[in-house]
Amino acid sequence: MSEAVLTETGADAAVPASSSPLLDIRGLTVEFPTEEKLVTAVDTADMAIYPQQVHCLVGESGSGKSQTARAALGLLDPPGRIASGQLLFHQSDGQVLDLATLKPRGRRMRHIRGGEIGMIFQEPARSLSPMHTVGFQIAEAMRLHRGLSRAEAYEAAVDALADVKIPRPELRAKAYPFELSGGMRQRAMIAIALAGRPRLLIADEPTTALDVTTQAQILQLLRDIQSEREMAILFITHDLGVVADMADEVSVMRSGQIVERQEVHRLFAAPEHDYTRMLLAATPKLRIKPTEPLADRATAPSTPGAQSADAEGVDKLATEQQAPKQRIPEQLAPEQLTGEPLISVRGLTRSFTLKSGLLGRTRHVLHAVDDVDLDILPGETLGLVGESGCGKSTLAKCLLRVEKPSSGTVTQRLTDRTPTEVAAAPEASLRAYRQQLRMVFQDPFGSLNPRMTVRDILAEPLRHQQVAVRTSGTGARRPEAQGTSRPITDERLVELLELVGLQAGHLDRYPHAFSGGQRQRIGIARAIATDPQVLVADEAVSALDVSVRAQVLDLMGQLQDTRGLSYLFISHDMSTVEHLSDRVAVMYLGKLVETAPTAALFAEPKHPYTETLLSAVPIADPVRQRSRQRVEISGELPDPTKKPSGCPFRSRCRFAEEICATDTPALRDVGPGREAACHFAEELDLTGVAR
Amino acid sequence: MLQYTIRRLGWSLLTIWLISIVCFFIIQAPPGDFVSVLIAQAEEDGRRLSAAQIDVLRERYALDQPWYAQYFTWIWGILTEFDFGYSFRWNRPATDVIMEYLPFTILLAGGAMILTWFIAFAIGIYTAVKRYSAGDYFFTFLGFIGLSVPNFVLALVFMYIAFAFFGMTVGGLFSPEYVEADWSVARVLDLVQNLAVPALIIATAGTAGLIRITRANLSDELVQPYVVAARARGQRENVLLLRYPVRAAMNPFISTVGYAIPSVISGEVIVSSVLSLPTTGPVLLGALRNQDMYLAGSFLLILGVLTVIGTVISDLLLAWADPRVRRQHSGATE
Amino acid sequence: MTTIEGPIPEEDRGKDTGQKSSASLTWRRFKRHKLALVSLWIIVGVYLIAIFADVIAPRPAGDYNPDYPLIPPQSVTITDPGDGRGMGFYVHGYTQEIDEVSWNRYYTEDPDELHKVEFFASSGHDYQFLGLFTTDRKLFAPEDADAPFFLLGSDSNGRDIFSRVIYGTQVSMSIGLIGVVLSLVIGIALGAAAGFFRGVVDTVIQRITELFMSLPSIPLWMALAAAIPREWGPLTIYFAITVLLSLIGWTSLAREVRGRVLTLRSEDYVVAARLDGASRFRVIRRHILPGLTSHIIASVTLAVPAMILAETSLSFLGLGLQPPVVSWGVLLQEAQNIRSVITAPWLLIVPSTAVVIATLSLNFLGDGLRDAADPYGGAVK
Repeated sequence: MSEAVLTETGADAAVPASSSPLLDIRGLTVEFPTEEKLVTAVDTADMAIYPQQVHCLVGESGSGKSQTARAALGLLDPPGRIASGQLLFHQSDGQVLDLATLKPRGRRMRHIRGGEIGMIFQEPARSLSPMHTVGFQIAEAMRLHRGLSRAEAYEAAVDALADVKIPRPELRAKAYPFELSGGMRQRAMIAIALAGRPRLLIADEPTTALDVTTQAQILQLLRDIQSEREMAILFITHDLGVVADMADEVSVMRSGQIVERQEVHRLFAAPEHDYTRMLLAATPKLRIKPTEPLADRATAPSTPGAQSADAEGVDKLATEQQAPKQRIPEQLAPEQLTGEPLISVRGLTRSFTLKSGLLGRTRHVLHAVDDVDLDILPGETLGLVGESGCGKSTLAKCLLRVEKPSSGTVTQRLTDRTPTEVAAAPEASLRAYRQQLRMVFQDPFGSLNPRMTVRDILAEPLRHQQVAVRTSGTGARRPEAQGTSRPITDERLVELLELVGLQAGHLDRYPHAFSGGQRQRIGIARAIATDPQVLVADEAVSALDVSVRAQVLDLMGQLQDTRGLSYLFISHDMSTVEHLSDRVAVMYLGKLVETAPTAALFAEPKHPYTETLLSAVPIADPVRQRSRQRVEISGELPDPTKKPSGCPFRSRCRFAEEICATDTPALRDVGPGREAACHFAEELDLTGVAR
Repeated sequence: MLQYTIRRLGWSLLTIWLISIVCFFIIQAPPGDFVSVLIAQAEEDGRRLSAAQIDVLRERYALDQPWYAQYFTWIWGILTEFDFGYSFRWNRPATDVIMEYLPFTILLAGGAMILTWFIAFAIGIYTAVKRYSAGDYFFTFLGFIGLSVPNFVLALVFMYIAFAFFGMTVGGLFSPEYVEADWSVARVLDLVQNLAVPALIIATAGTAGLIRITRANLSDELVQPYVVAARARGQRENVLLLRYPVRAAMNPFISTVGYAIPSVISGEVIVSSVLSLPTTGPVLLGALRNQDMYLAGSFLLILGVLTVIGTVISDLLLAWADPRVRRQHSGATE
Repeated sequence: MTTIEGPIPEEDRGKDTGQKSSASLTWRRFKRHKLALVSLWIIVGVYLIAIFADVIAPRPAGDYNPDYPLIPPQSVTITDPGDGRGMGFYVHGYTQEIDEVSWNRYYTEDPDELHKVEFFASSGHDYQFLGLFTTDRKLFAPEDADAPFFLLGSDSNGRDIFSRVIYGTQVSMSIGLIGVVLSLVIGIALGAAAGFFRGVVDTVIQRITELFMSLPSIPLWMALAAAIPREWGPLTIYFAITVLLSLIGWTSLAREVRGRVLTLRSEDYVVAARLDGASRFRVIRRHILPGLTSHIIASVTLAVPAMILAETSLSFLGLGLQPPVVSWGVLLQEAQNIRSVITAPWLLIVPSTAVVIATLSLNFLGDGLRDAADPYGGAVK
């Protein structure tokens, strides 16, 4: 192999000249030969990771960032192979070893794995064997790299669990992975990766599958360990917020190529490559409102080479890789949030009974949604945020009556053809209501019937349409729905497609021919086909890449303006919610803990949980992120079947007092348009996000 | 875990009860009741049953009462006195006949079962690890042949080959010199030798399905992140393969083996009939052909019960082997 | 207000794949499975043989010739005997020798006696061609209608095995198909009900399924078949056996259907259809069932060979179909004991080869279909 010339993209200044790199990747090319074609996942990538540095490798799905890391440890899935390039690793004994030349199953590579380079993965739940205890799996790594006996290794494993701040490590060592929370599993993975005292830790999207508060805790742990052990970290992520939080050095990857390498502050302040600029423009940053449309600043990057690397099977269309336009949502001022609510939810509860024990006699009742009051106002975007399992999706399903509420009322003012009270209305009477309240699903793959053409998918809601008759109070902002009795013509379907940026030519295609972003557009077209007043979007953009997400958000904003839609926008992503919403509601363990106009909520939270949540969200700006005042996040999300008495958040709240355990705080007015469910809402001085 | 065991046993008792009803109706299916068959039989032999004898028999089997009373009498006899009724063809209590032939059936079916598991598991692992290799295709093809060739054809072909090429007559569980011999090590070895081939023939039918399941499950497990994670901590390939994915693939395997038991019992009946082995197969066949219904129904009941017991054991094994199932059934954790 | 940017280019993923329905994609995946494709053609051929059995079989199924019992398979030579009959296919006649001691009769081919085999020849046996018209033309038959013509040998009554195996195709292949259709009706009804309604319905149906699955099928079939009155006609017995096979064979189909329905009913697109206002019936018919079909086809294909094997085994044991009905299992009754197999191996080899070809092809076909039916297995990962 000839000496590859290390070409750097003007980032040399950022490299500490004094030390030599720990891992020096030169001209790495990874290929996946398949029967039809040769896919180049990584294309002559150059990257140097220096000791004691956190090097972030950032890129969208399919960019080849994971394959780069896997190549270093000889972990490429077949038929992947390193076609050319060097992976020079400086061993602790001073020798330089080219990892690309090692046999993947050889003894030396096995020593490198875990002994010199540790690795943690995206899905801690699936990265631990479900059949073995956590202690066993850590002890295995201890025995492999420290030459300990079985008993010594197990003791060391318990200590390692304590090192990664898992409470009661003796007990957890005996637990199976499925008995631990996501955060604890990732801590256990970190303990395994550190068992051999590696000098480099590769973290492949380690927090992507975790909730935002857990993510903050894991990032904190990684930072602590990194400085404690003077380790280098290669941190792979798609999230620029995490990059801003963690990185010393950043490499940006696109279509298998490293397009830019920079010191982190320089990268965010003065990105050089068009693609980096586009990524930054497409990422919402908390509490920063652009003064001009971002779309004008983000120019389309030139397409690099004809070779598109979609080794991870994600097909992206040329348009979706072009610059998205960031719409500046015209947020409604608090005083504009008036009018009679289109939908009023009062005391809504949805509980599930989990049976166990002999003849199912032991029952746990899980209140997925617990006594929730909520209004959706005409023309507003109501953001609903919360961590996984907080009941936000169940709440949406209850609104649409996919799930039947256990108790409470849902009062609608959308149509006369459905009873005003829909929580208990018979299924048959809901048709007109469901035409006015439509849903956009999270999964762009599962939500379109693979056996129907786009034509059939769009025609389905129209086929069952009844002429909508509005009640007088609500139709004021919009013209009366027209054409509901029109036949389902091609023009009508094409009109719908064009509204969402697709074309007539797409009408006869099947969903599998579309990319994720396009499918989501089809889903939106289906939702607006019946000319609804309210759209429920349940994590509608969560599965999409940053650039595509920005486009879809843009589309949603535009549709809202032209068609006077109201949105219930459900998401776990605070930045996106802030970007789109007029008003935000925060859920925790089935309860609504706070509602407020967006700006007020982010600047000045009134509930300790909101404060925690905001503090955990990494801001995609290293200067602001690193100078932030942070709130210590304690504990983990409790088991939803074992909610604490009184205030559900008290077990993790730093202000909790006796009354919190005895009295459940009700959601009450705490300011103009604001409600919070905390006994001390007025007294607490909570930290929001500074501009 | 205890709760799960109790619940599982409860369900299997219900199943056994339903099976007993099915068997009872099969016993009742031929026209005419048992006693009239017996009378006809006796007349054929030139004997005459006295009216008193007939009345005793009628009362014994509750023949003049409604069917549920007859069923109850029958099942009560089995439960309390282990009385399965009377075989008029053997002129002996059915229980005696069953006891004579059942042990060999259990031996043969058990042997076939173990062979099935062993072959399927070994080949399953091999074909999953060496996917799309020549060996994979070969064994998969072999499995399909086993699935597609009727058991009795295999048995006949085997007998033909043994006779035509080796001049041996196959059949029976013992070589001639051991048939009447007392139990000894040599006799046991002879029995094992004679059992091996029938067991193998029976096993061919069940293996293909199990190979496929093992191969599919293990293939899924092999690409799981936890395998990559084990590799990433420096574990040796062979060790991690057996320790993690193979271990995980055991579970669906265990949960399926229970359902291989009916197929093994079915195979046993046919193969034994062809090879005239002294097991339940030929006896059941004879009983059915001659409408010796108490014997046939009893055999059917016992085979059904054996199958149910087998599936219960495999379910309990699964619960014991899989920590997820184990914890789930043990109720609360911590 | 900004507008949506740029149109999506036409050439995005190639027009051709975009307009392919999922059925045609399944077919495309299936075609990659060469063995399954070959099997498909074999199965089509076997069913064609069943349909045109009258044309293909040189003799009627019951036609016997006591002069020629247990004749080994005949050899066919291409020759020109030089007596004006011309070049063509010829079979030999037989000379009979009687062993003076055992009185066993032995047959040897007579090198001088040649019978010409003609195509589309008049056979002297009238039949209705597909019920349309009466003819006695066969695909091939000896020129002399009475000449011994036993391509695959004869049985102890001097019946032509080849003709009987051809006729056996009708019964054996149809019993599998009809049995599976019946199983399918039971299986889909119960499986879909269990999967769709869940709750108590599901529990009850699941228990019944488990009960049937834990019954050893062959002994049960034997018992039920033995209960069929002997005096019933062949057709009635045929249907009774079919019903029996399907009564016990529906379980795996029901399980498969239930599992798929459970998965499908929670799919987002099914929920979406409900929200679109589709009625429950339409949701099942238009959104759930199409997702099932490929799996059902695969399961059915795998259930047919099991039925064929069951019928063969039952008939072989004398508990299934009875002569004069001709099925492969009935033919194998002739090979009951080892003595007859040793004297006339073709009695075993010929019908069982037919069974194995049919079941093996069906198994490969079903396996290929199952692999191809896995929807979007490759695309989503």
